[in-house]
Formats: sequence, structure tokens, C-alpha cells
Amino acid sequence: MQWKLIGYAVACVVTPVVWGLLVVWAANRVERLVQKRRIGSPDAEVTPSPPIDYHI
Amino acid sequence: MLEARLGIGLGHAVSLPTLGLVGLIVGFIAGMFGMGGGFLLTPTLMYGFGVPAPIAVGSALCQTCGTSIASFLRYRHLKRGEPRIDLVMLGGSLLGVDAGTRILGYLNHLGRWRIGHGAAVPAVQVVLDVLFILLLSCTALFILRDVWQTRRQLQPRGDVTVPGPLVTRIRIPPYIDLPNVQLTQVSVPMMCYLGFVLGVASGTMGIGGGVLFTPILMYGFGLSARNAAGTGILLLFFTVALGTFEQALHGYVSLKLAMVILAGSSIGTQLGALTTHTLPNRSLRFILMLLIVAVIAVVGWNLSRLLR
Repeated sequence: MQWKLIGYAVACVVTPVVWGLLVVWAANRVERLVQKRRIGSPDAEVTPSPPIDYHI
Repeated sequence: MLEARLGIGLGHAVSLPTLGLVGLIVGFIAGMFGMGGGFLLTPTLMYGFGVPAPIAVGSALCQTCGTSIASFLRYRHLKRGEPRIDLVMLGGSLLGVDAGTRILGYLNHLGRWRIGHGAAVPAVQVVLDVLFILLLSCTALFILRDVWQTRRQLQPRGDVTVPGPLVTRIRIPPYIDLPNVQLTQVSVPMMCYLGFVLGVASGTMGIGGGVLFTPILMYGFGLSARNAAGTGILLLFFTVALGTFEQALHGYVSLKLAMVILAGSSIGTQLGALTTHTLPNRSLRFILMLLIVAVIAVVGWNLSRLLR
């Protein structure tokens, strides 16, 4: 089997996973900023937001 | 403007903003109902953009790698669900993905079928359409039955498990206890075979989580909606990751296509999730059932057009 094809297959798995991790990281950062702004103190405790609920 | 040729057997150029918009809409709906959105994405790519069926399946699986890892991380800290179910099913599921990918390759190499007096149609398209219609019809019927049965219940049953028919009726030893979801003596072979079937569905149709595994956990095992979601995510991630790898080896994945859709769906999922706090659970399930019926109608209409 060609190494190029295996490399492409690995990239097809790794690239969306890295993107997913980036999205979670960015979403957590935004939530943390919003929480801090809401509470008004930079040292306030941060509570995790509820995850996406499944409904079926 | 901003059009790109994706290769992958697609002769014409595709507008990247339109693909991103499709991702946004699919992501919004997926976030609203808490599912991957593969059941919407695969038919949309096939009928909306003329993407060949195997590429639509492979690329839908590829973008689900991104959405499922994000969902898995978001659920992990809540410790909902039962990881033993995922682990027992994993072996069967991975074998199933391999089988599903081979089935897809076999169907793709079958070429065209001439059914009746109509024009010759791609065999893979006909088989996938029929499978989509059957599977989505079953899911819609289960949701309709659930909505009907719970119409007078004002309060949800929380995280309490009510053992379903797969637990109480299938008695093939050895058994396993699942304490996190209050189930005892669950048949291990039944779970392994179920994992295999889920894997085949993922490998063949690019779907598996929302419209197949979560309803099986809820109506077959009797898990609550939250526990079912928390349980399925780990299995879904490994299944789609292997499925994507295998489909890419067969040349069925367009990374460019998947990433443009994933970029849109990442935003759409966050927006869709906001609606879950404003709409009641039963209404959401009813809307989902209508959506599934609409997808069945579109797939059925396209199938009849192909066979004419």
C-alpha cells in the first residue's frame, strides 16, 4: 500500500479531531471570559457550562 | 466566487460558502437535537451537490470525527452513561465498520442497474436510498411511539433506567452488570452483535449515533436520554475514526469537503444547543420526527426519480 495514501487517511482522521479540540478549547475560553465578566471579578470561580443535551 | 473543484468524481466546481452554510444548518439541527447530523448530511451531499454516494458517506464520517470528539470532551466531566457498554460493543463495532466499508466498495463496483424499463442507475445509490428509508422510518416510528406514550407525563423520568426488551428478552450468556445505569445480567453476545450492526451502518451509510445508537439505548436498553447520549459518544468516536480511516484508504473521503462543512457545523452546533434550553423535550422530539419524515420524503422522491 502506498505511504501517501496511508498518510492521507491519517490526515483525514487527525485534521477534524484537531479542529474539534480547537473548537472545544475556544468555546471553553469564551465561556470563561463571559463568566468572569458576569461575575465582575477576575478571580471568581468558573463553573462548567452544561453540555449539548441529547433529546431522542 | 470562492468556488473550488473537489475532484473526487465531482465534475463541477462547488461554492465553498454554500458548503459552509450547509454545514452551519446541519450543525444547528444537530446541536438542537444532540446528534451528529450524518443522516441529514449524507443525503444533502448526494442530492444537493451531486456528490457520489461513497464520497458523501466517507466525507460525512470524516466531519463527524470533529463533532464527536468535541461532544465526547463536553460530556466527559459529567460522568454520565456506562462506559462498559461502549467497551463491550467496541470490538464488534470496529469489525462492523470494516464490513460496512467493504460492502460500500462492493456496491460501488457493481456499476449500474437497469430496473424495469427505466434508465440504468448506480447500484450503490439505490441500495443506500432503500437503507436510508428503512432505517429512518424505524427511527421515526419509535420516536412517534415515545412521544405518544409520554404525552400525559408532565415530568421527565430523570436518569432512571427502565429495563428494555433487549435486556429482559434476550438471555444469551455470559452476562455483564452495568451498575452506572442500574442494569444487571445484560447479555454480552447481544451487545457484541449490536455493535457489529452499528458499525456496518456507520461504514455503509455514514451514520450511526443519533438516529441509530441513541434510540437503541433508549428504547432497547431502557436508558434515560442523558445516559444514552453519554454512553454512545465514546463508541461513536472510535467507530467514525476507524470508518474515516478505512474510507480514506479506499479513496472515498474528500478532506477539503469535510473540513469546509465541519467549519460551518462547529458554529451551527453551538447555536443549535442554545435552543435546547428554550424548547421542551417532547416538542424537540416531535420536531425531530417531522425532520426525519421530511428526509425520508426527499430520499424517496429522489429514488422514484432515479427509477423512472
